[in-house]
Amino acid sequence: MPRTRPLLVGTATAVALVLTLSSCSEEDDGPSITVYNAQHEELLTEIAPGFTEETGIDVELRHGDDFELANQLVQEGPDSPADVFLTENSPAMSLVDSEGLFAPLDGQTLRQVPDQYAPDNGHWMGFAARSTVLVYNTDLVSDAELPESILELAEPQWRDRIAFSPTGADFQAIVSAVLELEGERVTEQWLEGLAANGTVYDGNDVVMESVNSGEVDAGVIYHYYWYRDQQEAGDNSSNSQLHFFDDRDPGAFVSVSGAGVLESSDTPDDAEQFVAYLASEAGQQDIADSYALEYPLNPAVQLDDSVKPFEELEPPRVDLAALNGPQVIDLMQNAGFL
Amino acid sequence: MTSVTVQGVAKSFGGRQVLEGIDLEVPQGNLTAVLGPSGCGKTTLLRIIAGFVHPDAGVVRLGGLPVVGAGHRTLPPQRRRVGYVPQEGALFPHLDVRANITFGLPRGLRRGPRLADMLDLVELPRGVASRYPHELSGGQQQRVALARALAPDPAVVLLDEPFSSLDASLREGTGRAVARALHAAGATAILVTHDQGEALSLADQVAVMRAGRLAQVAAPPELYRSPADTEVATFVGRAAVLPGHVTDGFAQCALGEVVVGSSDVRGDALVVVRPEQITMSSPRDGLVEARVADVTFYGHDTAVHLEVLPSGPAVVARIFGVQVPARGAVVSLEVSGQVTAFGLPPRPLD
Amino acid sequence: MGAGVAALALLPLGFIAVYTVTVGPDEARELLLRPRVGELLVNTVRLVVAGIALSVMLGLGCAWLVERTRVPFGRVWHLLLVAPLAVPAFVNSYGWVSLTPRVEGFAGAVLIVTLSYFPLVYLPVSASLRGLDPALEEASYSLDHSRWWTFCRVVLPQLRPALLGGSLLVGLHLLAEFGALQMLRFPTFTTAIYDQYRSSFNGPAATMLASVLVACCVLLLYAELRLRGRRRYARVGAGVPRSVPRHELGRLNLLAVPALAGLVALALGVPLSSLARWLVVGSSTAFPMDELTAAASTSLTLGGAAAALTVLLALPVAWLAVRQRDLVSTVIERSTYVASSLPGIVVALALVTVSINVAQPIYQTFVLLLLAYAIMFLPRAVVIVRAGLEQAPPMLEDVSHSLGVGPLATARRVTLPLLLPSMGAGAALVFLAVTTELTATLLLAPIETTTLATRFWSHSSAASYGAAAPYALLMILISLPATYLLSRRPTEPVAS
Repeated sequence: MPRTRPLLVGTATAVALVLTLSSCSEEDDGPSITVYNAQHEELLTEIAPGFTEETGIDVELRHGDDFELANQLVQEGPDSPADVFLTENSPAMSLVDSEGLFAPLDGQTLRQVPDQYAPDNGHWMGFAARSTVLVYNTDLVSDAELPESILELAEPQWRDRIAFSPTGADFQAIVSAVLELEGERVTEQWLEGLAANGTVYDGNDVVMESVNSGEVDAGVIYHYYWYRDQQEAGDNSSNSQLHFFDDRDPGAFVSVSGAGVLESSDTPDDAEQFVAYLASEAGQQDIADSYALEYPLNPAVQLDDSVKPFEELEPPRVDLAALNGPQVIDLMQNAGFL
Repeated sequence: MTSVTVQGVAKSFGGRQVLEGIDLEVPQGNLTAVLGPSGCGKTTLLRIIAGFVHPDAGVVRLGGLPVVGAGHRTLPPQRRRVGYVPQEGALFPHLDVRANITFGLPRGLRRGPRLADMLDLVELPRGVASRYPHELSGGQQQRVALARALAPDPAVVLLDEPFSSLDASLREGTGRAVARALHAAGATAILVTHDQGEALSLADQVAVMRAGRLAQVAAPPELYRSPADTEVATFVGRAAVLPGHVTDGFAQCALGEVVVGSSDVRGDALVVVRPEQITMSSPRDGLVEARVADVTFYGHDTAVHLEVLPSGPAVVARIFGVQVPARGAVVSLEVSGQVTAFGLPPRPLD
Repeated sequence: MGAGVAALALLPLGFIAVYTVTVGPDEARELLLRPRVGELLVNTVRLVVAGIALSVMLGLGCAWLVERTRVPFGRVWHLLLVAPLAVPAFVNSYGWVSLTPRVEGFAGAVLIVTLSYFPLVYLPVSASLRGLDPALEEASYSLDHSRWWTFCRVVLPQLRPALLGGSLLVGLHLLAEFGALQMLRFPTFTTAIYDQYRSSFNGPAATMLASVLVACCVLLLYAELRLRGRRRYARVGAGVPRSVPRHELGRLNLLAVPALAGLVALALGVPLSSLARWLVVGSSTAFPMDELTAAASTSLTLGGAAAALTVLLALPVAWLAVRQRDLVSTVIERSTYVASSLPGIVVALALVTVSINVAQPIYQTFVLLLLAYAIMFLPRAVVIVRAGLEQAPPMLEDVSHSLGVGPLATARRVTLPLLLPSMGAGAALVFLAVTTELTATLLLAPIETTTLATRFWSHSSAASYGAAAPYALLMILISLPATYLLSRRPTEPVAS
């Protein structure tokens, strides 16, 4: 049976390799923490070595999406192997917090970033931020037309001209901001207007591409998509510009990436050290220097000057813990976005 | 080699009785054909003897030793030393002829002279040893299947409709070759078939099976001459079954007065007349007359389809030679030799 | 044993059932009886129906051209028509979206998922066409029936199991497809379940929505079972039928060759050229050899081990389905299909929950990950191993026993060699799925495990398409041997 052998040999090799792989991963004996990371992988692989160098604590990363890892933590409950949870946007932090899975952070850790970037209960904190912006096609939208408020996008002059991505946590955070600042009736009308005016896309990058190609005139995204594309090849941003809302408009909403220590951690002190490092000058400088182009939140650190400076943003004041509550979901479901 | 004894074997599948009270004795070195229409249960009987199917009741003995039933531990098929030749051969498609034939031999003997002996036995050239099943003709596949079954020197060989997939021209030659090989090997064999010609020509003994029961077990000439009932009579060879009345060794029927062979039958009866017993002559007084309805010429003989006048039954006469009556001609009929008669239950008076 | 495999495969279903109960009837009604759910249902159904129909047309048409006509370079076309399986659906749709935004929406979604999945129909149909007894067709021609009539009335019914099996796989994949459809902006139930997880605090509600997918899947399974009928398709005879005469295309070659070339260009050319473009123009393009090799070897290892495990688990299931053919074995076989119609996130979360509660030692180990792969991709192996088993009549095992060979030796010397080609093909198909799997890998792999798929995801979700491209390319490269294995013709005699 000459044909039998390759298959058997292949199977045996595969099994042997799996065994080798699984034995390799358990060899380290130094202190280490497990981080469930929903922030971009490249960002963390730049920060973690600095932390290990400073503290001697090894960082093991599991990557995933906000909602995947948040739901995983909820399912794992008290048996979770994770020590720290990092997200791109705050709602996933709120989800995990609502299940009572976070341990409170130390006051000193929290004090490194301004108060408004942590929930009142101090169970987690922001360590990076992205600003909502309007991306517009420079051939199709004149400067005079640019809206002062994101609420204007629901008005008739924008009919069939705008795009947005309502399924992501990002857009829901914006809706939360509108709800918090303007109340339920205005939010409802605004969503109705958006539904009538806009095209729904899935993902910020897709919105940006459609604006750039002239498929739609303008779209709502986070600032760093456009800046990153400029750095990559400029393919999807060459015909477009960014418009920042200001004056505490809901459209000037700044979403934060959160970090928190899990109650179930076996090494809460090491975990706390890691979160503290993220928000420290050294950690924040790593973020600022990375390709990520997200805003560091420690006032001591600045992004390079190609990006609109953080101090010039005028975001609305929104309670982070209130984002994406059931009411927001209801409103969006009624408008047919979910 | 060994005898096969089957006693009281019964089997049902999902509430349907397939075999019922089967008794069969196959003496050592004998080739017995189990003959029956498809679906009569003959393959199931074979599979019970081989050990693939467990009977609901009854005993199977190979060489006097029970292999199933009679309170003994059932012997699995691989310990029964039974060679099995299934329909269409069922050669292992992934193995060449050599590996197929030596499949059942212990590893040490696979390279020995047994392969050549077997190929000779089934009359195949030795060159086929390296061929694959799909490169063989149907007849060759069948012979390889037999060689494969005989190679481990089995006590008994079971053949399940082995020739049914072959062309008519191949069927007879292959059948004879297989029978010769079995006799040469001195094998006890059971051949299952629905082809009465095959059964009568190849077997030493024929067991006629009908709806799960054995209707008759006899040597071919006896079976033909003295069938157990009219159904056996018509199933084994052609026959006209005519109502008649028997008195003192003679029967009165649509073909006139005929001689009844050794029989205690009296009164109303069914009379079985074989086609070759009917002879024709130019019309003569005192004889039954018939019109030639159709003529089928086979070369070596001819079947003449007749309608007994004035409105009598249709019968077939088989005649030899080239003197063939024309269609539409009127002839006189006579019956030669003895016929078999089966008594009818007395009709209720009404 | 088969029942054990079925129980394993049904774990995610139990998870859904528990959460459906948790959510309660009122909230469930409110969530399910929304206009949006109706839209999603319509989208899902028309995508599945149109995707299957188009896959059948392409698969059948190509199989006929390659197997039954003298189209030039038949063997090359055969390889190229299987090769799209090596290109992950999300890479394919990425290529298309970056070529033209017009592919977004229903028509584009149907086109692109079909280009990705039609080989699942092409493969079994071409194998069936090859094994068909030409005598049947000749008999039909001799009765003065036209080619077209013969094809519809004689050939097509014989191809029914292959067509149905392939269509079932395509249907299951379309129910569970996420990445490609998200990129093509065509919302279905699966994309909506992801949205629900992403957008709300109510994970149980998202899980409950998956029960609609289960219902769709059960319908598909039932339909396939009914259409398949009770006939047996095993060839009993030992004789391999004569080789099939091929039709001379003549001038029709001028149509057939461009048609095949066009299809290959659409299914392979577009995604590959888009990858090539990113490799060239992306500023983040880099070839970190260490990371590339590490990710590739992990993907290879996981793919190989999962393929072996899945085929082993598929064996008893296929065995029951082919050799028992009663209600219980039918239920067992069918239940292994359910998980593959579910979004990866539902299966992964179900395994998180079950293993952390009852089997914590294997949580986030390779053992659990391999089990997850097996659960998700069992149907791919079951369909193929089952077809192989149907070609191996039990009579051959009886004969082997009668030759004095015991059950174990018979398995080794007869059954296994006969099943090997289909086991190999089933393993190849599982391997292809595992190398592109993402969600379960992210949630369940041992920490710090990186595969080609997770690397591709993390680069592309950071919009570093140049950096992502080498991983996609490697994914395709390591899938080529599996594709070649699949394209081998299983009815060819083993050693001649």
